[in-house]
Amino acid sequence: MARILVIDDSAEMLDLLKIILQERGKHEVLLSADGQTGLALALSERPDLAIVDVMMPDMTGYDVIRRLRGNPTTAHIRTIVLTARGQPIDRRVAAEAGADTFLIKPVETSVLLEKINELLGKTPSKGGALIVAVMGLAGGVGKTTVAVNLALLLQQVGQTLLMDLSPNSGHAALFLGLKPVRHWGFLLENPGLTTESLMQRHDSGLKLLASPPLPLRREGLDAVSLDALFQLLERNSRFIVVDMPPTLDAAAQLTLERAHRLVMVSSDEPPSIQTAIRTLQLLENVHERMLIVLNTLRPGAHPPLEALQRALPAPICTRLPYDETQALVLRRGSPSVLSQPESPLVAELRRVVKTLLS
Amino acid sequence: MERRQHSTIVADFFADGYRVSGAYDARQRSLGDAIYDNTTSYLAIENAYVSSIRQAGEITGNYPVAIIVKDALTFVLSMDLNDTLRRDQKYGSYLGLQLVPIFLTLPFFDLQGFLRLPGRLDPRVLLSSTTERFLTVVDVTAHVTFEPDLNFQGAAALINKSQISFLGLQSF
Repeated sequence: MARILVIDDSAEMLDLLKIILQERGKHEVLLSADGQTGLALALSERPDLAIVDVMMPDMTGYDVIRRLRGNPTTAHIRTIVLTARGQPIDRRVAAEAGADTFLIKPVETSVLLEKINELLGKTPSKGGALIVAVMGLAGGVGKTTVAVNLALLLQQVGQTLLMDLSPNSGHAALFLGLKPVRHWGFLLENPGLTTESLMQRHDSGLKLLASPPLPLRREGLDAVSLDALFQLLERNSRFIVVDMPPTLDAAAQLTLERAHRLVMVSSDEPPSIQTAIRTLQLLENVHERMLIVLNTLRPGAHPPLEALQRALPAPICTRLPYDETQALVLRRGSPSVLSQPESPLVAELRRVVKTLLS
Repeated sequence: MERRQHSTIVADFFADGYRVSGAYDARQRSLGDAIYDNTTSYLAIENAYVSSIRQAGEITGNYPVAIIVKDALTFVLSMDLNDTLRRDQKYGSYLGLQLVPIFLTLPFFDLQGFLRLPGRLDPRVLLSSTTERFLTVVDVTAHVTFEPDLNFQGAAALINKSQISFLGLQSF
């Protein structure tokens, strides 16, 4: 559920949008009949998204959006212009004012809700890939294991790309039995390279964009380059699974913004849980997109799931069972999804994929 | 979701280098009925938002109530064909309707679209022999003469015949 501000001088339109957004979209709705009040609400209530009419008497919708963008407190709010003034020049002026999306009245309810979901990062844009970021800031929790296996399961649904964003000799290629002869590190030296020339293909059909085999002595991918890379990669894949770096660097933060789903991998050991809680406190705005996967790293008794869920501010999707063969299959470059497709571990990972696709 | 509030129709009215976006309270009629009505010279609109053609996206003024002089109108552009059709134009014809590509020039604009005609077209009759002051053109793109990249598009336009300086037909 998101908080959506609607600014429109038509009382009927406000009523109609309130019903649609609350009943169909399950969103919290704030209403304003004029631009000034709308701006005040945006400052005090911090909505996730604003739907703004253009033709309003005291202040046009373009002025409202310019002011939202000009204030650091409200600059991040996603905006949809919804207007009966629907000429190409109006679309251009709306974009120049800073609107994210332009819709013409009358708009289909399904189109409006779809655009809202796109802007809130819940669904990929038309023709774009579903981006799943797998993260885990505590070391040794099996983040790459989960990322590789999820990517292989998604590959069974549609073309999938696994991106290993680690700047410190990531292990995704190793776990797939591939040598990282091509990797995104080449982009740092030669930004003009094609994306296809950077990728490797696994026997399963999965594409891999590996991390450089040696730890980098310099900064990794900057946010601008990574953003451009995402735009290119999205065109040729249905799913992109990102094995996130172990820090919240610029690349990681951009990926967090772009990802439609986030999977946080944690063990159920207290230090790992503590790191997960702290990370989620820091990333308050991504909880809606976040799933937690608990990985069981040792046999024996474990804390009850209910107690862990009470401590964690995002939903625990599953607890992966302990699998003593994990280390062996990874060393052989044959992940569980391929070597033990009927194992309890893979069954739980399938549940995660089902949740990601729901 | 409906654009109409009560029975208002939102359209763009172009006259003398200005664009006015406003709502016409149609009640049981269409905008076409009101524009073609020869017994009135004015059209009352609500919530008029005015832009200069030179900055056609920027709104320079707004007025809750406004009057438009029909004779001074260049054309009216609507996103909905039904809003522009007179009652008698909404019914079919035994002869069928043919779409004739048309190009015409107006003050500040050149406009392309299709005439929607029952039966065979006589171009000599088109501008001269009827009492109708307006002409309905469908699937319209109107380019601003001095800035061809700037254009306005609509499902239909009601064009003031007296403002037409050139009319070209692709075939008839």
